[in-house]
Amino acid sequence: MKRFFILMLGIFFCVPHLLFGDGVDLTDLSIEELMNLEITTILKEEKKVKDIPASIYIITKEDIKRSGATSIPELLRMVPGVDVAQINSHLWAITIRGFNDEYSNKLLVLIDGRSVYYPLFSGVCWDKQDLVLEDIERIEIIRGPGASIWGANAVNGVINIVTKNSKDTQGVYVSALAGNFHRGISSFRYGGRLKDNLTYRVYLKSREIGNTYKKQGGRSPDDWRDLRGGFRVDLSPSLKDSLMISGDIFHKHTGHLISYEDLNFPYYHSFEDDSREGGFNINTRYEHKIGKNKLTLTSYIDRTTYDDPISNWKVFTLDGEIRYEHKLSRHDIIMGVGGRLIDTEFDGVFSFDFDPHSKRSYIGSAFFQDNISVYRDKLFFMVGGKLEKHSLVSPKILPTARLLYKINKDHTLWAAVSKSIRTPSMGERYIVIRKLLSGPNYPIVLSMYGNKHVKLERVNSYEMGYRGSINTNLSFDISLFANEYRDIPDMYIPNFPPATFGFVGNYLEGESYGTEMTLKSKLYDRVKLYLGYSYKKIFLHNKSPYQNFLIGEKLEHESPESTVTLTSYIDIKKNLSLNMFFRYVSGLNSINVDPYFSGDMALNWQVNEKLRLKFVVENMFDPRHTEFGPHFLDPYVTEIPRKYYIKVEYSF
Amino acid sequence: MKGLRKTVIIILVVWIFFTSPTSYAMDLNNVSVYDIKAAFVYNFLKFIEFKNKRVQKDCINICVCSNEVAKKSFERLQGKKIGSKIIKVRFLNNLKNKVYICNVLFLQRDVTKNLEYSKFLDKINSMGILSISDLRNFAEYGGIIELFPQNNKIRFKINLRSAEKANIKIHARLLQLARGVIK
Repeated sequence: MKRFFILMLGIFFCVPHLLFGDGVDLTDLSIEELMNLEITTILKEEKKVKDIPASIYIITKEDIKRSGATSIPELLRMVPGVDVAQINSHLWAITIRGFNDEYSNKLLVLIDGRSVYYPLFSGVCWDKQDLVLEDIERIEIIRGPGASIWGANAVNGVINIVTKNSKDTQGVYVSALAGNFHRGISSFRYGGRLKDNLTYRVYLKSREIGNTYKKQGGRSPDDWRDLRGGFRVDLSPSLKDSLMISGDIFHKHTGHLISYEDLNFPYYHSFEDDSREGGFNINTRYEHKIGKNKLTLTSYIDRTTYDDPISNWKVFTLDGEIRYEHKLSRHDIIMGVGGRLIDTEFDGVFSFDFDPHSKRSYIGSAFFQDNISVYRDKLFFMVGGKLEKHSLVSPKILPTARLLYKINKDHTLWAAVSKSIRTPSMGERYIVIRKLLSGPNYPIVLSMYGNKHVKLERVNSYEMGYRGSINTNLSFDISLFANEYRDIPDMYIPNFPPATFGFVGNYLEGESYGTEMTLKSKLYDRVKLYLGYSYKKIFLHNKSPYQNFLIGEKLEHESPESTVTLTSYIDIKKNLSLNMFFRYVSGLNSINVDPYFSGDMALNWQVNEKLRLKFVVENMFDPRHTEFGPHFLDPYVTEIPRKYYIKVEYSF
Repeated sequence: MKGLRKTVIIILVVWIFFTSPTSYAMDLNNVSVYDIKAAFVYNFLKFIEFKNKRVQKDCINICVCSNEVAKKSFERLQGKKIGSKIIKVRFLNNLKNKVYICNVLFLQRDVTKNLEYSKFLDKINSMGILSISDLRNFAEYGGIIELFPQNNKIRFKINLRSAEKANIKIHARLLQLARGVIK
């Protein structure tokens, strides 16, 4: 079966070459045809990307339009070096350059400049982040540290999601999707113009996702219902000024197997119930151009709540930043200052709680970056750093130095050295976990505590990369990295007897190295093939006298050592295109996940100017497979089923 | 697993073989926005009649005041024909001299800083030049055709008043396609 699919794949590679002829001269097109052309920014972005001394990858709106993905995590699968594992129907473990977990704490994610890094557990709650995918302008993925600009926690990568200006989302857009696993996803968006320089859009999106399956058999009670809405307003009062205000609000229910322990007989409790989550955010951005220079003011507030029968959490963030970009003949300077206030609240049960329940923390920061053209637009040197002050931690400087050499107009070489930090989560500082062991007459309590004085995790990164295009149809991008991790926090689990207490401490250190490669090729203008490969190796060492940790050295193998991805875009006819996506992911030894080979297929049919149909099959090759270990709250392993759906999109 | 690896390798080899360096004709994925805009300018000329006498019988002079990227796109119009007239593209570094030789003037963002638009455009109109630009509010300031992006596609506005001043006749077909006509 597998071979058959691979053979099919081969046919898809080679046959289009024989079928399709030459490209077009645009002046042959009529005005009507020209008016129907999408202004692809791919080229512009590739040009921009060429000059960045970092391992960067961009998911364009064209990629999004063609892909069969229904959520941001699924979109990220196409990027070589980004490890995406679906834990259950609504949870994902996503990371770059290793250390994958439900809360991957070394990856920073921003949506229009708003950080969605969750301070309670250090990581990103991917199920809380959703947008009308058609309103995304692009997703920039930076593999490697970005701390000198974005600050703490941008250790192994930064994902920057940029939504479209509302002037580019005018009119009505409606989509409805139904399938076996995605029971229903519907989106509605309306974009309008109040004045010539004042545009807006509003959207509403609902989602109902079915269950995954328990590995040991039976359905996993993890269905997901989600409703969200939002707006974006763009105003440009003059040629020099622009103002953006946006906001989102959401509410979601997800199913869980809730388990906890307490001192009441029978001590262990477990039942199925829903969690309810909600939240809202408001973002503003004001840009003022002064000649070639630019001043940007951004601010946002973000509040999320989580509520289930045994715990409830609240997080509130207020953030503001001023950024100034100054261009001189040989220097591109960016500098800025920012501040953030975070309020967290956590109320739990005997076996899982925070002490104290609520906490306020602050971050203050200032950064500076200079991109210097050293020699004739060929050699560039970038130096920058961010000074950050977090509550409870002395100020830290996060510097980077990067060098870029343009061998010629098609080939670029770069190298970088950076220092970054990962701040301890509220959990690592204030969590309380209690476990019961059955004693002779009464249970024995093992207690594990967070540590207010836990140190920052420090990371030194060394990277280099080479990008080039061999001809207009074949380009590649290779990056190599090596990281040193110091003071990795973990929780010591007491070995009973004799110990009954455990604490969080900076018990581990480690190294990692690896590579990411992308090969993009085009066969005429109708077929595009992207091949991606990533490899990494992580070594962790215990430098403490203890042995038994909550996560520990098994984190070495929680991210796949190697992955291979292959994306193909085929324009079968003018209005019919096929997108196929294959990936091989090596196994995760420490959590018993087998290697898997998976394929997705999306057939796009533009019926007419307004109507578009999409037929999608995900996981073509196997009916079910496991992608990750058990979730922190639901203690069992799930299998992700084969998914298929039909999507109807209508816009006018 | 071994057979799988072999098949994959064969496919890769075949694939690389088929993507061997060959130059293909321009394809849509390699098009810059200005290629599209230049094609628009070329198409506009099919729907426009210059009523003034400055236009020569055998050629149309398109003047382009732009950056390098746009220049490359407009170079492709060189020598193309509109009816019996051959297009000649000229690149201007500034707008002080030589404007009088233009029949069409394409102004691009970045190069026309600090000009007093309405005054300048009045002058251009009185010279009978078809002015086209992607500068914002160009038509409102008195330019004849403004190209602007909307929903990731290019749209255009026409200032009919300016066209009349310039003694340029615009066919009804083009006016129909315009997203906004200033009368």
